[in-house]
Amino acid sequence: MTTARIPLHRIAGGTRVGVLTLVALVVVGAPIWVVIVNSLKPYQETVSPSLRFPETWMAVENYGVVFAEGELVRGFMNNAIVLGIALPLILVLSAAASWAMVRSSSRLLTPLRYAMLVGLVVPPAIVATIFTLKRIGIYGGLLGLALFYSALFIPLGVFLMIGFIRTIPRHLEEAARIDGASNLDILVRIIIPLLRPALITTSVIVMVAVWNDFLNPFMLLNDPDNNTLILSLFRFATGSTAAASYKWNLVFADVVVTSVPMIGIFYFVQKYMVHGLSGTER
Amino acid sequence: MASSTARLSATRGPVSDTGQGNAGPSGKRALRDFTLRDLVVLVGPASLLVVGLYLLPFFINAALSLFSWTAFRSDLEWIGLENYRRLDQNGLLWPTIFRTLQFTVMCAGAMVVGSLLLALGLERNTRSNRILRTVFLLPLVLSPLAAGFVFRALLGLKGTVNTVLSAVTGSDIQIAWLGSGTLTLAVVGLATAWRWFPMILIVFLAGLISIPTDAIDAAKIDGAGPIALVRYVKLPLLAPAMTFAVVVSLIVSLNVFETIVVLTDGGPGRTTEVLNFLIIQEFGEGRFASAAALSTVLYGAIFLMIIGLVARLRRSEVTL
Repeated sequence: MTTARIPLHRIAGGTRVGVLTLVALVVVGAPIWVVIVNSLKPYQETVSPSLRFPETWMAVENYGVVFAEGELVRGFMNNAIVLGIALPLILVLSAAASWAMVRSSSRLLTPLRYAMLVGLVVPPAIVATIFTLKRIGIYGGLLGLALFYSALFIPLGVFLMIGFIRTIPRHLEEAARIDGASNLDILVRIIIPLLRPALITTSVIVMVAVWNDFLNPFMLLNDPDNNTLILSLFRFATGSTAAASYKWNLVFADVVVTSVPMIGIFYFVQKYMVHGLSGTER
Repeated sequence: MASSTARLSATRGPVSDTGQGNAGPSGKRALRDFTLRDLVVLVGPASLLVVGLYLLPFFINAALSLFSWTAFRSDLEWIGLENYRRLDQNGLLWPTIFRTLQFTVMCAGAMVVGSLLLALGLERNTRSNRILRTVFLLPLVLSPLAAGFVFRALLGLKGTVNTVLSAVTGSDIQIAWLGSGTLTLAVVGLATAWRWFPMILIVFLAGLISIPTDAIDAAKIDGAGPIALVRYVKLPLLAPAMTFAVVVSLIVSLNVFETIVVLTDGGPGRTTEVLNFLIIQEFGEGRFASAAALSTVLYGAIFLMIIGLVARLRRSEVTL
């Protein structure tokens, strides 16, 4: 009888939050808890990985092995090199191309517009990419991978930047031109600074995608010295470097360490993405 | 497109009307359009990379599938459709395509349906919803490879899922989630969906946010209940987001590799060998041209699917 006084939508709302919380705990919470808690246990307790707290805490030992044998520094440096080459290329070349694509009415650009659209959705033909990189003579190294990523993500950069450049008033450029500015001046001094939000969005998406990518470096690199961080996780976890071979305590410690930089970016992404996406969709 | 150029020309102000460009009826001529040389400098480097290292490989891929090219013979010899014929004859081609379709429907279906339900539940901008949204985005932090490791630990014979089920039921449960000929393809599909569904969730949330409140209010005044509201107002207005979500989830599913290589390595038997996995497998075994032939099938399917889907779903989109 007393429940009749509470408005129906309140009850429904409460149930909704309850159900969603339960789903979140089971679907997302539990798997991530398994990773964290099992990375703190001795090997014997992770033969059958459970949700329980460790009986013996082995955090220092597990993470010690990961840092000693996980080839993390090399992986991190290689990631930095790849992104250090690819990201500036993607940002600058996308900005230049999208500026021209917005401001020029030339029919010559039509095929390029279609190419960018295809590049936005269709994944790369990796086997033939290997063939191409071999012919150019840059297969197997970090430079080849970085250039491949640039080609892969320029369409995304163009897509995100074109919408932005359309909102930049044209008389800014015209005023600069009357003052004698060259194309390069206008691009560097006016367009690129005004593109900042689009540049940030592009950088974040590219960083996350490159950081987490496994298949492309797996196919395009041919020397363990060039391994990216995810490749070193693969080597460590599947046992090519002896220590771990599917020992969950060690594998999960490595998973935690390689994922930590993404958590920092994640905070940014979750605040920015929903808003940013709805902005570009219109 | 047309409206945005009109808006742009309006913001140009009086200067452009006195300039040398003849402002046609649409006002499209710029004060100073880029010269051919400008275009080459601005667009050239980006085009060179995209065409050379992304577009060209698709054509090279199709061409390579007509040659013999293996790890043992690096010179290319024209053999026509022999690669395809061989894949057909050794019984790899059609079962793999069928399996890939099954996997894609399950994985993409789970992603789209799950994300849509979650988005509808998380739509209102309340405090609890903002926290829950953040939690549901967390799988994106893990790399697909790491997600594979997690699910291998969860779903093994002595994995967490069986442990929990045993504890709950009180009997020793050992379900072979990853070793069953019938179940495993679906299980791997769900694991793959787990890693990627937050992307689709973002798309749906953004779509729901962009629905004008007037439309919702009008429907409510007309007496629409929550289910009618979803069925007749929200879903039709979500159609553009739906197009995007379906295309993205199909592409993600068709390109699965990491979760399969970690969870099952194609097994048991060949029951989880989907196209993209088989491509890498063939390549790894040195049959490069055969891998190229399979890739041609995969990319052909992706192209056709996207063109068909976008055309079809676009027609069903509603605007206010």
